[in-house]
Amino acid sequence: MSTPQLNAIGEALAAYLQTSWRADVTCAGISQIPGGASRETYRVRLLVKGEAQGVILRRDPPSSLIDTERAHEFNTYRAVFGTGVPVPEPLLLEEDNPGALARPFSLTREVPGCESSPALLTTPPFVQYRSRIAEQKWTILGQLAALDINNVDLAFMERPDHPALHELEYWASVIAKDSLHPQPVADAAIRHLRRTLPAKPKKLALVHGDYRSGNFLYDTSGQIHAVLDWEMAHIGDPLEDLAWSLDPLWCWPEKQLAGNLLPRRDATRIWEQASGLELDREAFRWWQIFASVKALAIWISSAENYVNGATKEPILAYAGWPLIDRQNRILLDRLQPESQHQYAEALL
Amino acid sequence: MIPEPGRALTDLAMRLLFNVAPQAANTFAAADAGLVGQLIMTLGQEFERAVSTRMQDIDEMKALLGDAPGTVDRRAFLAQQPASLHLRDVNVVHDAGMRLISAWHAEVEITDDQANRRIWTFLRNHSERHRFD
Repeated sequence: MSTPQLNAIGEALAAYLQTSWRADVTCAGISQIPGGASRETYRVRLLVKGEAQGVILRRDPPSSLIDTERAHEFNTYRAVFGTGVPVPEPLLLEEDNPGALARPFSLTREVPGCESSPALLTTPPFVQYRSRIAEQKWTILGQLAALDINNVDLAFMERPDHPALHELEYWASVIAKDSLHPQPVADAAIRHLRRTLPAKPKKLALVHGDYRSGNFLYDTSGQIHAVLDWEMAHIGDPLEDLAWSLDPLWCWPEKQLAGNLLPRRDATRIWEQASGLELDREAFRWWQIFASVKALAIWISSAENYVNGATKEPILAYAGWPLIDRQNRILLDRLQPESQHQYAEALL
Repeated sequence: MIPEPGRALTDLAMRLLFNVAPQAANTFAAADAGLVGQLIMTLGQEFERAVSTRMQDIDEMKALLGDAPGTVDRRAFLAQQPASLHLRDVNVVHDAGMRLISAWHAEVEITDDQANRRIWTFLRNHSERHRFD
């Protein structure tokens, strides 16, 4: 996107806020943040009544990796903000009258001085703080699992009777609908999951839905300040998030360090301490396979979106080629009899 | 005419990754160029092998299905040949075979351990042939 196009977005936002906030608002700078697969994301420097404010603008693209509801994500931010699980402060959601911004958008307060890139976790200065970041990452996830969903405003979320069955059938339907080619590995994995469905969980929790390195903000001292990207959040089994956070794709091509941070057994120990929950090993094995199926469904859907959708964002094509390949290899390692575990360690 | 387009694509990707991306005006443009460069390298790899890997898959699937137990009707696939070696024509036969493999797998995976293992071995070999470095 050219500088004039970016400036036009910044000015359109300032004009919108001038009316909405009934204050003198100007745009002092704007940059686009890479990596957002489901929304266009911009860092905007505003002057509000002469005072500097940083905000993050998330605007709908013409086409998206995941068919998510922007209101769902924004309402989740609103519900979680102030609970102790760190999230950016939600400021406003505009769905009906976006003005010159043309497409629906949301606004959150910027968390300054932070990074989110998982690749940076393996380079100085962040590499020396990996264990500190890891401790916080899985402690926060444990705290999320411990949150009493009856004390948080989540009335807009469905409460599934059987979370594992509910999630499995949803993502199986995505694969059935969006596959451009036959997917025999995914088919076999889905059959396996249907045959081995776990019991209902003892506790329903708020599930982030995409909890991994890359979706939290950390600073140069290794402090995590916010968890991002709640668009797939739902009520379900807390083991879903834990399994997702440990999927081998998030540390590819390494296998040992979950999310490029620490051994998987240490991550589960931290989570157990923070959540107060004891890991149900049998159910957890199911959720680990499910995590790879869900990821595969998202990559399959993105490939379909790239081919048939309105936008040609390269991230969609990347998900549709190398990521489908890698996720298939992970699933093969997990399901093939006498697996050599070339790409994924044995299930915990 | 450049005789090896796959190699040329890789060279173009390197140019994008190491010359264009570092000079991009902002981090978003640099990330975009980097991602496009990686995708072109992926395409270069696929370009070289796309027809060959699929034809090998088709041969293996026919061998597997030819004497396989089960009720999945495979006669049409066993007699089918791609209309040409254009990728779109090869894909038609390849997809037909993969659908049959999946249906056959569903039928025998619980009842026939030997067939189940043969199918997983094929899927592993298929995956390795199609892997991106």
